[in-house]
Amino acid sequence: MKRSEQLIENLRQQNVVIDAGVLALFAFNLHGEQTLDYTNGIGCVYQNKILLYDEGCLAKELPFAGITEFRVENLVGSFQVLYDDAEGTHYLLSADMRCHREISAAVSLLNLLVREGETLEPRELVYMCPTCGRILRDDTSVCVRCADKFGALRRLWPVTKGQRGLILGAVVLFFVYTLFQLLAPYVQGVFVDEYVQANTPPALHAFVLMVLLMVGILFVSMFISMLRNYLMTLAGTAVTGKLRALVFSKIHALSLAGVTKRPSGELIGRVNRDTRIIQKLLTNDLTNFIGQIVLFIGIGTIVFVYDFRLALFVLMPIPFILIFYRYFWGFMRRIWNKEWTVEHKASTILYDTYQGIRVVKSFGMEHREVQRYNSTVDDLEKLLIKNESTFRVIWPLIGFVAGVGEFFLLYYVGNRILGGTMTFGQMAQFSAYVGMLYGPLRWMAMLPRDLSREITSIVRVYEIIDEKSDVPEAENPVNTPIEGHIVLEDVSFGYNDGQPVLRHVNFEVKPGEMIGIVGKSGSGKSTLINLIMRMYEAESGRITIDGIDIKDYAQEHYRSEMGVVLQETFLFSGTIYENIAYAKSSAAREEVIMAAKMAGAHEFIMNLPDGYNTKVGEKGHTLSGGERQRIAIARALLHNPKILILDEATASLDTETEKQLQDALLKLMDGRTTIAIAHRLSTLRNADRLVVLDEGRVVEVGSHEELMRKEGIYYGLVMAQRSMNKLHE
Amino acid sequence: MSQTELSQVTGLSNVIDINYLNKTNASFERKNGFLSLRMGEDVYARVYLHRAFPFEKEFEYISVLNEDKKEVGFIQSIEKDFEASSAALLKEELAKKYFCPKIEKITGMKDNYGFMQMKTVTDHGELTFGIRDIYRNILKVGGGRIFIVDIDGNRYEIPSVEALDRASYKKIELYL
Repeated sequence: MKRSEQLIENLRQQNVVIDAGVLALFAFNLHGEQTLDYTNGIGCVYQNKILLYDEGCLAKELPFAGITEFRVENLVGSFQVLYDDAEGTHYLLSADMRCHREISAAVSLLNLLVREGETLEPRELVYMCPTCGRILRDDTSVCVRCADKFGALRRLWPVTKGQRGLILGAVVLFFVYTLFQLLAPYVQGVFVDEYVQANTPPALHAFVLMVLLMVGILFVSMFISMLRNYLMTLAGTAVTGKLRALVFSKIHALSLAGVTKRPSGELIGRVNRDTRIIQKLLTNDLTNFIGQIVLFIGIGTIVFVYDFRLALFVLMPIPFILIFYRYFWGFMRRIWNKEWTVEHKASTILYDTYQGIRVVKSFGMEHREVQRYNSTVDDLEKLLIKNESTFRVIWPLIGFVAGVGEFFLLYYVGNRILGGTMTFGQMAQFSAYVGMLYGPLRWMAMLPRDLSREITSIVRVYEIIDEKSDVPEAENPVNTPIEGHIVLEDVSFGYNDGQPVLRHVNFEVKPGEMIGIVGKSGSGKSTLINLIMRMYEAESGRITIDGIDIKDYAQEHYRSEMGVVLQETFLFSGTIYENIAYAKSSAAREEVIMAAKMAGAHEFIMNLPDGYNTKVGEKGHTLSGGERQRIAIARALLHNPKILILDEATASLDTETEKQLQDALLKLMDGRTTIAIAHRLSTLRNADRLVVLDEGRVVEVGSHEELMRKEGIYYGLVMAQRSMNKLHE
Repeated sequence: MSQTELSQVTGLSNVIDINYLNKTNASFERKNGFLSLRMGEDVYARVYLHRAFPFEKEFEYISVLNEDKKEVGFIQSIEKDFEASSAALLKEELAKKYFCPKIEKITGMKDNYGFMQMKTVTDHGELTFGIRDIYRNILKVGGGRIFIVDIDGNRYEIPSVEALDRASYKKIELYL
């Protein structure tokens, strides 16, 4: 069922029959201009009007005539849709964040209708989960609510390809191991009855043989177990490696938006922690599962065949034990959770004060920080003592309860031995089997908890793997070399919150031209270059390079023709040499040195004791901002791109250093199409033309002189900065 | 704290001036559905309210912003500094801006593989919602007060965890 059909059905149940020609439907769930309350509202968008139904009544009919814009205004925990006409702003509807995605899409559609007056086809605003009918969130293509556990397990199957032989081998080995385990008590029983308690003393060699047999069983089962573990480790690490590679490459295939919407720690967690948990599932639990069940059924059968009354005695407490385990683990989870929280708090303090040690010291707050840490550590200590002692008290108790069955057994067996219907050997056999029965039980009691954690990890990992990239690769990607002729045709874009960031942007950059983009913060400058780099996809309109839509270029090829120097340059852990050669690992040393020289980096590099082999990055030598930018410029020079993007490349530097860098930048820009963003307008004095952005619109285009003569927005910005500079002088 | 007291404490009011609003210099009214403000000669057809301490002070320390999101005034206390009718209007506007159902009862909490499904009874009726990354989205703000942010970005408040009935408390306790 489509979402629109669901909403039409919903209206039909409220006895509303909608007119033909509806383009799109959406739901809103709050009403009241003054105070908010939940309701069941549905909006219907037509070519020339919008209708709002509230609880089955037509609440509003709004023709588009005279309306200039619809917009979403975000509040905290809800939002409203407003519209503007000649008289001002008016309220349309409210909804909570559940409806945000759908209504944002509706607002975009409404604006297409009122602004362009285009004739549009009916469309779906959002997609639903086929299972539960809820709206799918944009960051997943799987419905989080419907992630089904066995489905998740099934998905691991393809990844095990190539390791299936190993896994099967391990399962078979575990099976054999279990058989050997079952064999041991049997041999023991025979040994006691036939040899130890025998009426006639056995021959010595037979006695020795029996002992050897028992040692042999032990030895072989140990060997099998070792072999099994070895096989499982092989298979498990291979599968985990494959999963990690899959997630890692997927993260790189996603758009910038896809990656940055999640905290980096979470992504790292999914690559490392979750795959490790999945490894445990594959190597331990899955094979154990089969083994433990075989063991349980095996022993159960033996015990029942032996003496079913006895078996009942033993099995009676099992349900109680299971219930007890469940409660016990719930309880322990609670107290461990508390422990974990306090531990986390303590380590946060540690991390914070270490990171902020300069602040702590300069405000003389050492004493308070020490106190804060101590009190948390005290809390932790108390909690640890409490938890540990609880555990130490309860655990033996559980052992006792679990062992109660064995006492009954002892009584029963004792009676039978005294009555002469059972031998000592049989008793030994029997109690060994009963003892073994509790192993699988304990394991099965823990299984739901472990399995739930493991499935959570699978779901989390596959959520990434399944995510659709919002900048998909073209079907027949173009790989032609790029000249650098950029044209933006009517480009509009908004992030997912319904607020337009760029509106109908049009401009052209000729090959080799340098364009400066100017505007207040938040005017859409960075978004614009992100679109040109195709980090995001334009909502409407198109961007072409040399007449070809950027969507049609092969992404890797496209970006390889583009060089970027950002405000903050990230240096990877490695040497300076590796960092410069990052985008061209085949570069000869001479080339790297040449690039560094052009960027004005060679000199300072040669002043470092380790020259180009100096380690930089997280654990290496710290370079100054100017030095880092020079390395970034050298990196871009070596890369030799056709299109160069400078995003506030010199903004974090002082004016003196900036001046020094300008030469290097000029060399870099020579003959390349360049788009530069700079707050400091003097940085852009070499630009052929300037594009001035204001609230996502291009408001002025021209050279510095032309724009100054015009005395518009650019003029205002320049004047404001001049007066600032005078202040500084 | 009055302004003179403030300046004695911090010495900052010599440097920066905060335009405190009260019934003598400001009047609010609702026009065309939107909150408007008159401050002497200045009239703002539409103003926005924003809490400085949303988790601590409901009706104190409220910033008043114009349509460009620039602060035009600051309210220290809605209840103390305004007449009952204006105060009611301001509170109404705040209730709308900070839509946040109050949870009275938790009828179910189920962890579905890293996605927590929560069933509650609130002052806006029964609500069911999902939370992801539970430890980050259940915010303890002190005094037993808790804010929950669901997967869509809606907010829910538990004014006092201790005041919840025993069954509800036991359900959420594990995640506090």
